[in-house]
Amino acid sequence: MTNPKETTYKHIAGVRDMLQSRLSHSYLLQFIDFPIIDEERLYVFYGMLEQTKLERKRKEDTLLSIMLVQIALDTHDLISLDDVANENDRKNRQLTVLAGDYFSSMYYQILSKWNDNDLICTLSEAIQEINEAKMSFYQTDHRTVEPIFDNLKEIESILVRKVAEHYGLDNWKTFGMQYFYMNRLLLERKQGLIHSSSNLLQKIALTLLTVKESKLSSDQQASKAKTVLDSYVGHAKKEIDFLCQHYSELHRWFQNRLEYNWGIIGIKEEKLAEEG
Amino acid sequence: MKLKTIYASLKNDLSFIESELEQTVNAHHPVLRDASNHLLKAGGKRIRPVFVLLSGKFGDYNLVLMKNVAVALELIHMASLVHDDVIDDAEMRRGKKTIKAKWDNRVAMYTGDYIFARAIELVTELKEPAANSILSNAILEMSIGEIEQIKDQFNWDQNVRDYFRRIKRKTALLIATSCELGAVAAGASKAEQRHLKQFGYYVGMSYQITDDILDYTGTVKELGKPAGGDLLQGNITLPVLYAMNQDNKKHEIMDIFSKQLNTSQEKVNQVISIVKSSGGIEFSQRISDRYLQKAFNELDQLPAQPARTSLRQIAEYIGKRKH
Repeated sequence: MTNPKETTYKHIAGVRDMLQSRLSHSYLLQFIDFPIIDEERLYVFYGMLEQTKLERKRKEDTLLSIMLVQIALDTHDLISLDDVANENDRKNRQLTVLAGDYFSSMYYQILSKWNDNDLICTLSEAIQEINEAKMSFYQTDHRTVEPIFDNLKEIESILVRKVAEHYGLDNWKTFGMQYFYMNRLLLERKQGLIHSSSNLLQKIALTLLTVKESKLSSDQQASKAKTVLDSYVGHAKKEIDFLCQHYSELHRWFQNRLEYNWGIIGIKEEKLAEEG
Repeated sequence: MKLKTIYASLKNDLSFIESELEQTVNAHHPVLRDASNHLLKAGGKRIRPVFVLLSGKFGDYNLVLMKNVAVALELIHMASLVHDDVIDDAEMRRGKKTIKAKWDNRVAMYTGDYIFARAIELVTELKEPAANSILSNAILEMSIGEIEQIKDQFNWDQNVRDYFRRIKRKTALLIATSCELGAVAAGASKAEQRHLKQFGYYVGMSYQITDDILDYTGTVKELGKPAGGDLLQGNITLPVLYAMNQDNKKHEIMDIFSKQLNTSQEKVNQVISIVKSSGGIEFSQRISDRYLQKAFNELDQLPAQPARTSLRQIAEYIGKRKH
């Protein structure tokens, strides 16, 4: 008898291979990095689709399509704003635009082959909402930090929310939304540690500058921004723990994974609880 | 004949499409809304919606259904222009600042992605599986064509076949898709769908070749930019490909581009002169005319009706246009 865990890993590995093959465009890869395949999303969407009655091949293609949507959106986030310094930079920018469009066109084609008009509609709505939320994050001068985090949560959770609603998977909706939000906060924190700042930390620092903390030095602002971020991380972690207690074995796998992610970026849980 | 005159029979329907276009890109976020409207207000020939509507006249023409396809095709064209301006680092389009120039590259990416998604959503409202299949193949091919175009920049070893494949993906497919989807949405017969698709493909090829000729012959006033813009970007089009096959012109042209002494515009001017003297313009015009003739032959297979006359007039306009 096959071990269900092994079957899960085998199925996911199969889709990951399909994804890698789709993303492997030899010319694009001469100038842009291989797109990051978000393993957490792969597992969450896999778990969701396992609860549907779709046939195996269709589940695989659907997962592939959802991942392509995410990768296409992520690719366009990489577009540089500065003037290009050389030919290589120019090619990188041009092909970043085209790679995103190319990955996006593949999701549409795969689902068209299945005549899955409804899911195409759901994903296109999700893409619109995500771009609205990204524009809001990028182009709004926030007065307080709360809406920045709300905005970030929207960006991270719209796709999973729409897919969960599409298949009527309410438990996954709540869990997925919180989980991806949590992961994004951890990523921002990790970037903050490596590069001493991140998009989110910069936004928080800017907000602090415009309100009561305007007398702080830039170092103090950065430090304060990190503290604010940590408090949100702590709060989000508690929510995840609560949700994990109520769901299946697969969800516990995520909890373990989260503990691992937690560990590698060096966050101490007590400290966060205290600050939160 | 002016495009406006040809469009006269569709005047009311096109006004409706125009207002639908505005409503469709009415995003919540003010910057997203302004950026989408910015390009919309800059105008354009609206050739794709016109092809959709006229093709729909060969079936049961229902404007409420046709509008989804017509608006979607124009939005896809618009979204690709927004992204193209980032690719080309373009400051101006249709006499207005590009979105990337007025805001920045990131705003342009988000706007383009938003508009693309909006277009696809509209097509799903048709609930016609064939529509998704046709459109998704076209969009995929278009994106491959764009990548190929970057890959072929300053590639002096490419041939005419590479060029034709590229312009098919770049331009002809979306026009062919406009005609085919118009026919599909109206429930025209399979044979009519096929002839209209082929008509659109041939017109699209002719349209792009004419565009490529104008890049060598147009004035700043006609083009809104100096001639030779394609060459400046490294895009090797039919007029120069023909010239490169004459005598020793290939090496002459390559030498001009390899010299460090001249400015880019001086290099381009020298190549324009070679292309003109080699007969590259006349050759390209003949090829464009040949595609137009093929388009007319497809029209001849369709039932005689006013829409067929209009399609022929638009095709003729495309072959003779100056901008």
